[in-house]
Amino acid sequence: MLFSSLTFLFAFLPATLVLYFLAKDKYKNYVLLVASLVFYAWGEPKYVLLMIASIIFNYFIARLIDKKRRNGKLSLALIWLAVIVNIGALFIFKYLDFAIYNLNLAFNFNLGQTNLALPIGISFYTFQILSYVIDVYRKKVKLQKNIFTLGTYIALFPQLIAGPIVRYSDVEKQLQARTHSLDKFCDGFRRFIVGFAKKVLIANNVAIIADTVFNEPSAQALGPAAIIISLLAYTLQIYYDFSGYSDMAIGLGKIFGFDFDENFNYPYSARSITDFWRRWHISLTTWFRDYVYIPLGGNRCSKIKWVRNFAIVWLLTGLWHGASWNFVLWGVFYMVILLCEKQFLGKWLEKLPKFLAWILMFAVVNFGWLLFRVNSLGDLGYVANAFFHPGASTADFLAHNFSIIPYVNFMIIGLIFMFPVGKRFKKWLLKFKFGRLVLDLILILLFVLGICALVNSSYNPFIYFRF
Amino acid sequence: MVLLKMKKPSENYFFFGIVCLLLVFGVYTFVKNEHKTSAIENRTLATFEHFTAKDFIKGTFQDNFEEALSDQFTMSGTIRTTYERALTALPTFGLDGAVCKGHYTILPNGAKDGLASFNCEDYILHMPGSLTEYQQKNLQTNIENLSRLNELTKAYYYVIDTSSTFNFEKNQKVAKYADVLSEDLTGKYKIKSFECDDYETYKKFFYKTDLHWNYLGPYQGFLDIMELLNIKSSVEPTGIFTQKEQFFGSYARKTQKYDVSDDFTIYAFDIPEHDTIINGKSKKYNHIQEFIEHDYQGSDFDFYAYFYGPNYGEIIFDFHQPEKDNLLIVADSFSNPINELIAQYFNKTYVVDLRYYKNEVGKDFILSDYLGDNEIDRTLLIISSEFFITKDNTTKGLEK
Repeated sequence: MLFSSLTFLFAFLPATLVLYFLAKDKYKNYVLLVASLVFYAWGEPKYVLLMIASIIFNYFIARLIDKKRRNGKLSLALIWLAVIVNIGALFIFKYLDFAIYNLNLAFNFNLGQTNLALPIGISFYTFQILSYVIDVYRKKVKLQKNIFTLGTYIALFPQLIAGPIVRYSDVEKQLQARTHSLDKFCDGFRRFIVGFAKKVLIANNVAIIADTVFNEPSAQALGPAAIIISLLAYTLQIYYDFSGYSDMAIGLGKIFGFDFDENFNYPYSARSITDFWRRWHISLTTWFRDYVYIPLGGNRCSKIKWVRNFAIVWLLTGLWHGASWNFVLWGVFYMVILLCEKQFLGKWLEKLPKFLAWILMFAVVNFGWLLFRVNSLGDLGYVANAFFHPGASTADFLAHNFSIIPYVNFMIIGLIFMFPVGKRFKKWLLKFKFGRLVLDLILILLFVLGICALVNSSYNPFIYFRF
Repeated sequence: MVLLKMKKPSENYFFFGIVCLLLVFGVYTFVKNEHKTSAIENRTLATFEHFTAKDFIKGTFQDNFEEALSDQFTMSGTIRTTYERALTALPTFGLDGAVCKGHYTILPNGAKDGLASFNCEDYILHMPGSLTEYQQKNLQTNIENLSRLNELTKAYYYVIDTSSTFNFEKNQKVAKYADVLSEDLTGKYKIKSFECDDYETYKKFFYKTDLHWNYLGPYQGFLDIMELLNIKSSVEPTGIFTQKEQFFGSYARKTQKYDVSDDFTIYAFDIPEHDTIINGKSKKYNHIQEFIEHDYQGSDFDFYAYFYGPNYGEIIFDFHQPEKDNLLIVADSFSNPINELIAQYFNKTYVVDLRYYKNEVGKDFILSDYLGDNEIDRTLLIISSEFFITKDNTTKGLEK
């Protein structure tokens, strides 16, 4: 079920809200758990069993780790078992076919593909579960003795299928007791509407431009302008799509009394790639930092080991996004850029005029998204070839795809609001007596427009659902 | 309830605003009576089905629920048309004239069916293109079946070119089905085509949002067919009646483009009394009189099929003129507006649509048997260019 769907907005959410706020405090987690399982089962009626199995397994393994804490070797073996089982499940569903394909190719094997469907959000909830089990092992969090409370944390529908990756340590206390108020409810709904508008009004509309080129790049004569416009459209799509989802998740969390950490901080306003990654998908980068990079030694080791640690993190970041070579390439691309920035490029960038540094960052990020978006390396070659052969007529492309032109308006809006313009506008407006009223009217208008767009549109995918 | 402890007035109105929206759009959607059809989209709407665990596990319950909610959503039709109109009102940065002239533009949601506009105008067209392997196979089978037909009967072929047969961009005819057919034909036959070799002619005779020809096309077709059949006809329209901007055709449905609609116009004719038998039962065929008298409520129907008459496996028009010939018309939906007009010059006219014949009449169509059983004197085929490339049972039985 998508947040940006009529089913969620007009059936699931109202029903859950009514049940949740009618329930006594001690039953609220149970309502959330059942609602979350229904939410997941709506899209994955069979794989909900996998998630329940995962909750049960991790509940008991964490109990065992806690119990056998004094036996260092045993608890270490248990934590490794937890990691292997959780990552193993992720590997089977997400990477096994990719591995088989490459083995067949490299060694001329004839292994059959499993063709298993990818359970929605498996990458997100696997990382959440691991954060709990590892933190229990590290004694950073207390053991959760109530399996239903642990289940609520793992299955919590606001962030279940596309993040942000909420660590158990961040919500440990909130799972036991959290405050609810109308102020918090309204703030949550306001945040939800912001995310909803980002997704439905901007991401979905600019996606039409991006898909025109990237769905089948070899099917049409493309010129550089067509590629630049559609790549820019995709850059905006992925930001508004994913940050919109995170806003909705954070807003929904607030409605139900949770405070989740921010996942985006205007990443396209950064002036270096290092800065960009401090602002983009924060919950994933900090997860890799705390659970992979630092345990490997981080930067407090020899230069060779540091480069190795860096490489492992970025290869895993690439692979986390998908079982395909273009994601690996995307990870390696950022690894190289970031290594260069840390070694010498960063100092040079600091000396550049701000605007120039921003242009460079934005160009690099756009190129990164090209690696990310193409369906295959063959398509990447085709797009690169078209880009460097300006012979293909942009006018012809526009003529045959003229219906995408009105959607350029959404790109312009997207380009403006990728900077903290909205934040500043809100701050300015709230200085006035009726500022809040005006803001709320704008939000309600955006909500209505979003609903209209949903009713009208059949195009409503979430990019990060596949991760 | 903790939520009712409202501290700030600003929270009150925002909260009630949201609740009202959820009630108006949400609750009302579930409690109001379900709509069965949509006039705007020209289709049957999905309705809510009962929950079963089996359907839920298969995921079909969820799919149906989401489809039904979208279709049954409060004011969904109005929302869709208003939203589409708002989208088309967005600035196009003056590019329309610059890049559109003389070009096809693929429409959103139109790529799968090859639906496009030309010169960025309102008309939705089938982009001319090469045939798929499947269509090639259909074309070959249909041509073979159609060419065998004239070995068994005195056959008259009337072929209607639609937008897919002519490339307005290159000013070139790309699908010469009538030519291919006439090359294949042997023996006694007559063939004539309704051709649109330029965009202006196309716009004159066809709808903006539908595959079919408008009121002018069928009348021109009728005159052509009279000439083909060598019948002197003095039939002229007795009136012209129009319903403004009410008709959203199949192209609009396929592309979900509801910012444009068609005027629906009908010519009135004086047609002598006759009997109509549809699939073996005496039944009224069209609703032209209701249209003329505006004796209908709502607009929850496909104007073309409802007023001109829908496609049936077999329709028999009996004008009780035993001195005249019996006619067999094998056709697709393009013949619907002119079946009766033609039939008035014959004793009995049998209109057969082979796509539906077997299902509705309950037996296979075998031409030789049909000709003999009904004492058919002449056979007329009224077929659009789409007919040639659709699945092979459109002509199944004609060769036997």
